Amino acid sequence: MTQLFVEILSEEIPARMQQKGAMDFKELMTKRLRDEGLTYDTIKVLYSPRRLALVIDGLPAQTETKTIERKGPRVDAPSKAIEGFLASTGLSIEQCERRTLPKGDFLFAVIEEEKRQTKDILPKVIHDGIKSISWPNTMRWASGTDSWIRPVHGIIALFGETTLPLTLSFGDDQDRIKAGSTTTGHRFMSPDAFSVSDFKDYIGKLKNSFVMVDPDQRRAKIMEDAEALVHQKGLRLRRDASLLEEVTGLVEWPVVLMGRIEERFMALPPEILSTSMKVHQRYFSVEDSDGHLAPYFIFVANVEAFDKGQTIIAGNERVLGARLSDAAFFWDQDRKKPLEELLPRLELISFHEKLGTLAEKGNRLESLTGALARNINISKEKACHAARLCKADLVTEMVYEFPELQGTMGGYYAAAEGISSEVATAIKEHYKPRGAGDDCPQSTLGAVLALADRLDTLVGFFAVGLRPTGSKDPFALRRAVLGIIRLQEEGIDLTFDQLVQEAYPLYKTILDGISEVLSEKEVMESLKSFYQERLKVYWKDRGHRQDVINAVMASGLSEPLGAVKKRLVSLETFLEDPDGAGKDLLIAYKRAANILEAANFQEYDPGFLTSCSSNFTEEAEKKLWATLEKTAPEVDQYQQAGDYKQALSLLADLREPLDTYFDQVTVNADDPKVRQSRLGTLARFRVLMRKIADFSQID
Amino acid sequence: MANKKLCFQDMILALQSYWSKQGCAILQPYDLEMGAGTFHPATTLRSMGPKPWKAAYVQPCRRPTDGRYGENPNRVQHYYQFQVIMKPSPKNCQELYLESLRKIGIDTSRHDIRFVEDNWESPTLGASGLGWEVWCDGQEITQFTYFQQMGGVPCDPVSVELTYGLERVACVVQDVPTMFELDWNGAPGSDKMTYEDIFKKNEQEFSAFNFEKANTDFLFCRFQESEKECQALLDYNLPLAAYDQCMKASHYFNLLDARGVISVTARANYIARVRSLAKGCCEAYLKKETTA
Repeated sequence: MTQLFVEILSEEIPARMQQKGAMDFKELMTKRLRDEGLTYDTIKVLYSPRRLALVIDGLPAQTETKTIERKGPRVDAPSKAIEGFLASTGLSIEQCERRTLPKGDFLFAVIEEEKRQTKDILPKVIHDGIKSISWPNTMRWASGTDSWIRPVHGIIALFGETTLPLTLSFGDDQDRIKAGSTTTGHRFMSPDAFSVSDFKDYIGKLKNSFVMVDPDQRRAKIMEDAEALVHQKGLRLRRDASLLEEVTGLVEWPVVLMGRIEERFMALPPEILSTSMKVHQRYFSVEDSDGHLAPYFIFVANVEAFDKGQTIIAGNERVLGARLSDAAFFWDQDRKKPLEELLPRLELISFHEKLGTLAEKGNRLESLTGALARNINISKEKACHAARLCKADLVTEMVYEFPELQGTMGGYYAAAEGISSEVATAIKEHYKPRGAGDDCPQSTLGAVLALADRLDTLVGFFAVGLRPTGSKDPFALRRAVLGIIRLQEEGIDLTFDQLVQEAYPLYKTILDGISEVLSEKEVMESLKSFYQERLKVYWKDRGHRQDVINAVMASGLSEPLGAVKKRLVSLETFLEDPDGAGKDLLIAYKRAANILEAANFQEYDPGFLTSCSSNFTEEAEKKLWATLEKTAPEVDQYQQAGDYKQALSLLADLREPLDTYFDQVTVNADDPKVRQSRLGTLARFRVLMRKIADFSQID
Repeated sequence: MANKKLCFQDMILALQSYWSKQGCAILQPYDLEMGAGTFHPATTLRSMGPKPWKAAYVQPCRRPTDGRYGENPNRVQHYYQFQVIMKPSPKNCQELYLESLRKIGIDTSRHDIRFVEDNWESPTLGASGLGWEVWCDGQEITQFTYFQQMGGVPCDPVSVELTYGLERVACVVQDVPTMFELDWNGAPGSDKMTYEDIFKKNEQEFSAFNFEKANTDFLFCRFQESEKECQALLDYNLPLAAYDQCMKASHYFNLLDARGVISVTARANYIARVRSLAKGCCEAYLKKETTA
């Protein structure tokens, strides 16, 4: 059993693409080896900014022998047929076997397919693997015609002790890369080439050459060293998984260092500091035991400098200082003008070319938030105030420089000019939740404003036909809908219909000026189906049963989302009920539904039923009818009160009379009148059940 | 190498001398206002077509909206780039670049040099490329780009463009915190001149010009005239001359933008107009190049 070891040495691969590229390479290799009939024990891929390394252990030296049998013509067949068979197999007649079959004696060719040498198969497999990695954004270089993520400089391809004959070309004849057994170390600390004999040797020599090619090892070292550094100061590291992943992809030899933030910047809002550090500089924030930002930062260098990193630390402190003095300058400048005075400048910023300016959006938001506030009983005046000012920070210097701080800065500036803390908080929070991992606003005012903002966006884009298609969602409308769903769940519980009815008319002036727009009814329909799709996905991701979700949503969304959610949860609990009440009722329902369907029974007509209840002859059907008559209003009552648990438990009590009914009553009676009334009874039951959910969708 | 830190002008000389030795033609700045060294015809136009090309030059850049009246230590409306363009991109261009840093006194064993992903795009030039921003101790000092497209045309062969932000590089070299403190001429005593001595007043005056005083009617008119002239010159098949007018139009647009008189919708439209001029110039230039 032999080891295959491959390294691709290239110019710096973007950090965010390394992992996916490496995994892709591994999968391509796995698949190709399988296609070639080659098995192995283990396969592993490692990566760093400048290299992808792949090691496969336990490859055989050659493929397994395969015996192929081919049946030929009869031994007494015309010579032409025999010659043809021999020619196609490459055997002489003496080499063929003769076998006696019921229809006579036949020639058989038994061919042992030659074993193929693994070393002959591998070069093409590796070559194709490297070239087929799917990178998000590739480039050409020099005179090449083929692209890769960045220029490739070298390849190691060792199969055991053999260097595989492999040449990689990107379409430039001057630059053909021949596989060998050498690589180079760290770009600055050990740039000389060295040769390796196998993977173990490679890892060992790389370590001596200041390269950790294993991302797990780099990640662990960064965390460990960072924790140790902050611990010495009695502080804590603010962990950040995505930042850790990125810095792991920016270094081959992580050296964790700590810098200081100048005291004068500590008076700035902490979000400014942490955003500047993370987004611009890829620094980790540090906090004290109370969770407040501490005047330090952690960063990861790629070099062990002989001055213990003093120059590097000083340089990084200087860069951060420059960025923060910009920020401090903006902070001072921006606070000179009240937000209200900035509003005219929103007229210069387009919301979308078809949907007018941000100033117009601000006006709509003011009306919309006010209207929604009225419905949920919060101060209309404050809601309107927050809505009017919520986009003003987009024209501040700070947000121009740090777009991530939109909302956050508006909140700070509002508070600084003495606007009530409720309004300031609402402005600050209204972009929340910013994504799946973010919280909803804490304040009701913030939540209403957040909902209004997303609603306005959705209705506007849908009205001009810009709904997401396939995977394309350039205006992040899926996220907007998810935001609305979460805000509704959090308690801003207005029905979907209500929301659209409030938002659409506010677009009137804009839509009047556009030729092709959707009517309110059309927007309602198309936005509703989009909303329902997202809602299903969202609930499913939250661990709810797909079939139950479909069942409770079948009745439409005329009630508040909280009520639908409650039905969902109650029904799930009911169906999982350990004593089986839910499942039994479901079986009874399905039976009734099947009979109705087979009879193609028209929808339930109360008048007809009342008139034909006199047709009942059997005890069981009288009993069922009476129970239904009694239960229906009670179920209604509980349902209206939102007590689905109780409603379901009442419905479960129907199971017994139903079972008796199915046992003793022939629904498809000969007398059409009797049949109709019996079907009607089942329909009555079905209607009652459908008030909770469409049980036919449940598995 | 000597321990003495290079002053600004000596650093430029060192870069010129180094890239000259690598076979680059050392050009002088182009005599028109532009937002980046990439606009210089030695890059924009020469990066197109099959002929090999190597050049290096200093280019003053004007970004009217970046003016801060000389108040901000890191942001100015006029600064210098050192630009290297090589077609086709040499295999060892990263090493060549790193060696240039050593030549101006940046010790790569004491500093943390990193190549951080940065994909470059110029909407006004219809150009794009892939590469990195080069970081030195967390400071971006250079844009390193493999051109993939120029004037809407794929680059074949591919050029590599190195754009040094000279002030930032010099801050590292001289170990000073802000560009205004840079030693410009390295002279002793009262002969010493700093970046502030030379440029502070310019920043104050030009910020006022860019943001407050520039005559917008005049600029709108100039934009249109340049656009018209560019198109006329393209009709005469004089792409080099036409391209000058395209650069002028671009600069007038930048000034109008700084004056805040271009709305967002109009802005996209102006950029599209400049791009269309640039595209016309590139196409005409390429056609002449390949048929000559």
